[in-house]
Amino acid sequence: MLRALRNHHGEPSVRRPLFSPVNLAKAIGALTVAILAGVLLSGGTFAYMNSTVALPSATIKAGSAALTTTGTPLVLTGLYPGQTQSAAFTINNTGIVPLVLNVSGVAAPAADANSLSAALTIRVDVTTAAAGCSILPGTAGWQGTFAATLPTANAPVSLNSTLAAGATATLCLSASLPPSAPSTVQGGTTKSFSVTIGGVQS
Amino acid sequence: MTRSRILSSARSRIGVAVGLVAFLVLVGSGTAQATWTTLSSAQPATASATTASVLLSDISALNTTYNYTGTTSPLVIAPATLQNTGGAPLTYTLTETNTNATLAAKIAVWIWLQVSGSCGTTTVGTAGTLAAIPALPAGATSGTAGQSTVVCIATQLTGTILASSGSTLTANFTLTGKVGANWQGTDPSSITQSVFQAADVTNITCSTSGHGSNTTATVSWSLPAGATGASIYVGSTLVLPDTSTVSFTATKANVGSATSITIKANYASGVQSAGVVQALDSANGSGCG
Repeated sequence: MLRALRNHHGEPSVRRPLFSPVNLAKAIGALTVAILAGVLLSGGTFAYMNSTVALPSATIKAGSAALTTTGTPLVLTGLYPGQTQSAAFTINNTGIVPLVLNVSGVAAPAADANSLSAALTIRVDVTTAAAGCSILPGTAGWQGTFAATLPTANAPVSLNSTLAAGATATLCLSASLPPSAPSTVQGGTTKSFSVTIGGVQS
Repeated sequence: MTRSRILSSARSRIGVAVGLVAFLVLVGSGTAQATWTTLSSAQPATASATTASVLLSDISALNTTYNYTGTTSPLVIAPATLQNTGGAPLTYTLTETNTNATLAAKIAVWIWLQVSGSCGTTTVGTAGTLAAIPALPAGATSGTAGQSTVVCIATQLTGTILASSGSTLTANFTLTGKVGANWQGTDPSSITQSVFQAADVTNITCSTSGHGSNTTATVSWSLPAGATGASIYVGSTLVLPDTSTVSFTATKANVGSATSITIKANYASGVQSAGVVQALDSANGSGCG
């Protein structure tokens, strides 16, 4: 049993919805302006004095991040149980940004006749040219066997060392045989394996 | 359209609109970031393992036939080189087996580190026997790759020749070099040692002649190879120390009431055989028994 509403003139009136499309649009607009204003005004400082000067024409060129290795194959010989052989190689940051080095890949060798590769433990360390690889750090940068999960570009292992742009780092690649190495690996030689060093802009 | 539906629709639009605006504001106000990464070219490598191997030099200078008088033989001394012919440092042990445990137990063994390039003429250290040789001396228990170490080995038979006469043995020495739990190299070297066979006289014959108290016995024999003569004992009394004559005539006058004579072969080294006994009948003169 509804009773018709009347305005102050006593005329019947139709009650409008609380938020008409027009009002809704207005509300959204106002809210947008308010939030934008708030965000923009909440950060940074503004200087009221400013000046301009014309710069000579310039070319903007993108920089790069790049690492290069010596690439000379490393030969680790004379391994025996309980012993580690190491060889140094260098990494040069030829880019324009400092890079945090990591091991981004280890390519395991194909099987060899003596199964030597299956018995090896490989490690990669960052050292200095002066220190060389004669004394390795107590904690390896990365260490593992070829049978274990190896680092990849998608799952690199950090070497916790930052290489400045234009700088060169000396790294050690080491191979060791555990004291329990089987007799059958005597005299064996692995097929070629490789290590890829990566860099992440620091 | 009822009032409640109108209200509901309006509120939904408001919610969507507010969310959209908030998203745009937040996304638009975020800082754009880019981190460069790079990879080097692959660094190739290979690895190789060395071997564990050893060499025990020829020790045939210890080959000998013991031939002596008294209760201990002269020393037999020879150097032995222990060489690490592999690429790994090794820990050495020297072991030995033999073919005659009885004789091995009578042969004393010394092993010592050679100094000044000579083994000298006297032993050093504690003796073992060929039944249980002594351990390698300090300074000879390990070797680096390529290293050679010289030890001296001496042997000496204890006891008389006759106690071991004719015995012989082969002693197989083995040098073992180990590294790690499973790597080892071995090399054998053998020697043969014998004890002189002091053979007795052979072909003994005895003939009786005469009667009564003039009965005599003539004993003849042949000397074994290498013997230089014979010694004759009447009973236990030596009556002829070393005769090259291969017969002996027993008379009442020279044997009396003895009931036997013993003939022992003599050798140049002074070794004397155990002897052969010829019985005599002394009841009537000295006939053969």
